[in-house]
Amino acid sequence: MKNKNSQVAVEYLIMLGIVLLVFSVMWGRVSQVAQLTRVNVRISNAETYLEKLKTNIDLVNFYGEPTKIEMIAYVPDGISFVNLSNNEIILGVETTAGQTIMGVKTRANLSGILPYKRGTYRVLIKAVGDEVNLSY
Amino acid sequence: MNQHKKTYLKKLRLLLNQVILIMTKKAQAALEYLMTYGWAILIIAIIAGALYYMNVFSSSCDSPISTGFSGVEILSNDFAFTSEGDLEIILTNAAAETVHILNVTVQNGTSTDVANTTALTLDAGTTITYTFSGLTSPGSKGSCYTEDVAIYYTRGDLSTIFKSTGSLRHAVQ
Repeated sequence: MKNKNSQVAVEYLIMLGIVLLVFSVMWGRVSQVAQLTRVNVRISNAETYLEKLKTNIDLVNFYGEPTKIEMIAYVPDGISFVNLSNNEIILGVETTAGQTIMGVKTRANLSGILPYKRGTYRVLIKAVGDEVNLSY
Repeated sequence: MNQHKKTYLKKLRLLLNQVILIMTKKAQAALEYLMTYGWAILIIAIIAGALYYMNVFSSSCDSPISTGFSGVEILSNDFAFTSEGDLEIILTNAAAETVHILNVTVQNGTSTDVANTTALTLDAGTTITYTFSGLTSPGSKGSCYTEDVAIYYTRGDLSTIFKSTGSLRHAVQ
């Protein structure tokens, strides 16, 4: 009886060991792929954020004052800064290899402030004179 | 003599019966084992098959991986590092407008950045090849490496200096 019990215990341990081994290999591989994908998705989201802003800013500028648009924008994580400089929006994105700096040029000069912390925001894009004002 | 033969046969039959009994018991044990753990073996086999299909058991460096670039990019099949220490990269202008490449640097292992300062203009959608020679080789042919690359450039008539950084991972060729 004792022998049978220990045999069952050993069999159980062997099976559990194999299952754990398979899962740990799988987990390691999945987390590696996830990390690489996360960086590429972050870059892609940041590019989308910029392009969406540019399209709406140019549209508001085309129609002029008092046009305004409320844009729903998703800001990904890992954005280190957003700068508005004349008619440029410059964005810093953290990658595994350092910081990537990207940007777009708009038709109008810009003023105001843009979000850079992760989340979904309502960004108000408003034509003010010759300028476009951004706020959230 | 006959009596002796009969006794011998009887003993032989008994021995055979015992052998059959032991074999039957072993087969029963094996069957019970399969019935108890069969489901687990089946699941492991399916998972192992799926992992093999996904190339999990092959080295993670078998296929080239490029991550993190934006604007001016190095695509996954556009780089190679030789065991002699030569790194060849192909830059692709994915910025949808003309870019002016100012500088390309490679973080070579633990050593300081190695820069290639050949400045040039790259039209939208076009590519250019950069070669870095005399880098510290990450190892012999087939060994894995990860190199961080930074590309400094300007876009169209924008005044900002942009930076596209990313990692390249593959096996030495």
